[in-house]
Amino acid sequence: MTSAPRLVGEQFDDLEQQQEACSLGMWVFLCTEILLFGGLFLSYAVYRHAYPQAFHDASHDAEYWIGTSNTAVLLISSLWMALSVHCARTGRRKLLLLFLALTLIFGLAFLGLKGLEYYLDYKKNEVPGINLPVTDAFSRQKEMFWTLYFFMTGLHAFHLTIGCGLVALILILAWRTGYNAKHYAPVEVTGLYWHFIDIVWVFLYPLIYLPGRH
Amino acid sequence: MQAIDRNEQEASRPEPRPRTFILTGIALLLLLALTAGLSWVNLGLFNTPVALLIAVAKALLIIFIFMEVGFSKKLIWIYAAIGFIWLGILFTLSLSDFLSRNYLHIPGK
Repeated sequence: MTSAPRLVGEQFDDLEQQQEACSLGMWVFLCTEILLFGGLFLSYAVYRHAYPQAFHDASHDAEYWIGTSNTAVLLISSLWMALSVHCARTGRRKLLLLFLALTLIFGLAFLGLKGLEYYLDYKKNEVPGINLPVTDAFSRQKEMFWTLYFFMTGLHAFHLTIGCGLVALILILAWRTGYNAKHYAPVEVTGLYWHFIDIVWVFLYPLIYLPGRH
Repeated sequence: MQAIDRNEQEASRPEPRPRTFILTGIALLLLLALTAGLSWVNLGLFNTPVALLIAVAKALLIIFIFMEVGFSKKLIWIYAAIGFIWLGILFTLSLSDFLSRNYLHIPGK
């Protein structure tokens, strides 16, 4: 109780108002993020509509099994994150540390698999501007798929890297000071960001890996 | 007075249970299995729309349960929706141009 006044910023009446402002602020940021990724999704829609066959063929060469495994890894990491927020709110310190560590491990596993996938893409000569052969109009259309693939998954991986850094920071803070029902906004806000990254991937997965399967 | 109102609202608001999160996680993985499996079946024009519908279902589960929007105040609902509404405007206006360019058969357009 004695530590409560220290936690409240002077612009807020009480902790609860501060908590609400934190999560609302994160949602405002996420709105801008939706539009940042939205521009890339729009580019994908325009080019897929223009070059349906090239996108189908190029998607066939994408690493389906790595993409599918990574989707599962990220969905499970979101479950660990949701449980982390719950444990922070209910003041269960040990479980909070466990779930945050699991979130971080799964996030890093995703990045590891993504790195492996990029390596395989490189080995299969699928990197535009480096080794993707562009000989005719059709291969130029396929180049568009791979360009969008690297930009979209790259921007997503960049966000996830930041997410892993935030989770690591929250993990250290949870270990040193702990969170409770009155003070858990940092965990909640990090959670919102993490789930958003998950949502972006949920839409990337069917657009990149699935069109070329059938 | 304001603080009392907030406390009353807080008390009446249900909190998600761990069980809800775990069931949501299982549902998400089942939806992933469904979309991954369906991609091997040729549904003609419907492959991508069906895959995107499943993606929307997954996103809604994440937003309403994992991000706890379903358990939040209406103000959060508005902010959660507004980003997607703007995205809708971006797509509607842009695609109404790109998708209709061939309608008039004007060379070079």
